[in-house]
Amino acid sequence: MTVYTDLFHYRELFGSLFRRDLRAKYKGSFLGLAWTLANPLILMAVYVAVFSLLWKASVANVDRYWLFLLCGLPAWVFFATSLQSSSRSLVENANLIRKVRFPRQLVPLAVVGTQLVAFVVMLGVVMVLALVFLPGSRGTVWLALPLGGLFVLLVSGVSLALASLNALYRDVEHLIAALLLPWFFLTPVLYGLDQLPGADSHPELEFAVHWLNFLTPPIEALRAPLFFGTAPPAADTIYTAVAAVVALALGAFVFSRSDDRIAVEV
Amino acid sequence: MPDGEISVENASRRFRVRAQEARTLKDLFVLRGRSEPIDIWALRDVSVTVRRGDAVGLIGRNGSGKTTLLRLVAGIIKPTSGRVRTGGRIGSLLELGAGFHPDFTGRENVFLNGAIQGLRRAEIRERFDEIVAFAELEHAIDRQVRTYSSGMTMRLGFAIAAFLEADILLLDEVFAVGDEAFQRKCFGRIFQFKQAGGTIVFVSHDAAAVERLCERSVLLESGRVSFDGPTREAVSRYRRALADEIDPAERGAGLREWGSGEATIVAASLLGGEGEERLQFLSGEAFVLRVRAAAARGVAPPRLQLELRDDAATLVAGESVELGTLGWTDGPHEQTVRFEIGSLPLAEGRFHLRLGLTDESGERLYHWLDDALVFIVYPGDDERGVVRFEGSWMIEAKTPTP
Repeated sequence: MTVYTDLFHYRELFGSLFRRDLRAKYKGSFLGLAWTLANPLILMAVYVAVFSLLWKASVANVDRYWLFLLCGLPAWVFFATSLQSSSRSLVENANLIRKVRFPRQLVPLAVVGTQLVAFVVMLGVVMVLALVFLPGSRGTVWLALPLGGLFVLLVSGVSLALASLNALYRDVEHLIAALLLPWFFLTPVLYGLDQLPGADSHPELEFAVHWLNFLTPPIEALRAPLFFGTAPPAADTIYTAVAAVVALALGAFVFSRSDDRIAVEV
Repeated sequence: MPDGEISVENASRRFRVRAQEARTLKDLFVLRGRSEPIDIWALRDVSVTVRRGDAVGLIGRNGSGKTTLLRLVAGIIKPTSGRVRTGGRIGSLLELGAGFHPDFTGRENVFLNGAIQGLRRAEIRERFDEIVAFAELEHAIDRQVRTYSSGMTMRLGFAIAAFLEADILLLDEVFAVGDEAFQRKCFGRIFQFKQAGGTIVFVSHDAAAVERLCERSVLLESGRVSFDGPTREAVSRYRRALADEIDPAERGAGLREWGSGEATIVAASLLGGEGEERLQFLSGEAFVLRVRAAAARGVAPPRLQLELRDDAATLVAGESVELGTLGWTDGPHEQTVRFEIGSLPLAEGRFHLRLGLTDESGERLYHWLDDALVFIVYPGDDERGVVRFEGSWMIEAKTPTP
């Protein structure tokens, strides 16, 4: 448990690492920190342009497909970028880790923190769009905040576990890079699980996408209040909460088991 | 554990090394069970207690476990068995400037590095001016660290660590910082820390630096404590251990020579009082250098030069002699020259003798041998340092008070 309570005790250090990572990313660029905001917005614009305007993709019973798409996107982007950048973080800070004693879990968690900035921006934009374009959602949009919070915990735990593993086995980061694209298509971001045309003939496939992919329940849960104006499905919500707890425990477990070896092997 | 104290109890540390290290998942699965990991015990059953205000040196050869012990005390790694406890804030200067971000300015790095070392922002702000002044970087503190010279980077690294106000300071070979003036300043700062009651653990190959700072030293040999006591004794045991190990073949291996070759040094040896060949001497003993040299016909009597240096390559003594004045006879045969010292004026350490043959004026180099001979001097009784004084103490006859 100290793995996470250290976050509070060393909040100043966490803040310093967070600022370093945030600013180092765009240091020397003209727009600087503005890129943190520009990146997710450009990404969202491109998705809308390609899938909604050009392709005119659609989902059954959904009018504004472009907004449907945007409601699922922030969580996926946050997950993917956090995993990619945090998995390398311990190795990139090897110099520091070998020479100074400090709570090393702060390194990957600070990286997740920098991605969190973009997540908050994207989720904020989506919430505003939902308030403007979807009168039916106005009462439920706020539910995205606690659900988003649970999702952040989930991503933090997974990131910590993978960063620790990558310090010991360097190809974890390559494995992540290789898996993210297929994973994206197995996650209902571009499509919804409801009334999928092929779901009747392949129910087991739909079941797998829904319950074996731990990203699906949080994304489904987030999309319900944002887009459909309904309370998040109980099963998805409980799944998300349990997954967050399991991920945090897993992250703490993997990290504590490997902490000592990390200093030797990075 | 009270602040400033260190207690290491029966600590051992094992490192698992595989012939081919499993760095990738493939290795992990493919090599599993095939390559047996080799256990390397970097430390075995080490117990050391350091009280507040002590300055303790850690000496030993490369691979004897000094740095592992320091990293255990710093808390960077944990002991495989046994226990390490420390009290208070630890400042570690294991590597200066570790964790500096090249794209950030000196100022930003001071705050970042201070935070990593455990300082709060307010504390850093308080000490900021002092740190910058100490590092002599007032003019450059708002420049990116990537534009700093390595000396500037290290000065800044040292300054941050020095102003941590730690209870325990861990130093690992840090006196390679900057120029000599800055080194003195660093040493002064560390001394000040010690005077103020701070605890120091100091690792260095430089025995002189350890002697200046630490009254007590721990000598490590293959991961075990082989001596724990007064630094003088630890250092001389360490030197003795080094000397015993020197392989006779090593003398030839390090040999470097050059020159035009009209005259050559054929052989060189050192003799003890009984005329026996030796490479180890007691301070104050009789000492003879014997050099066999040869010159081609028609070469005027050459000049023989010798230079004596210590392990740090400091010139201890230089001599030269015109062989003509000794009765060198022209001819293609070898002749032997002796240089006798009745009482060796060296105190202790390892010394390197460099021999050269030049023409009479010293301008033309015939033959030059680096490390022609390497020998060890052990202190006889109370000598310390490099040089032994020949002198006598007495009490002046009392003058009657008027």
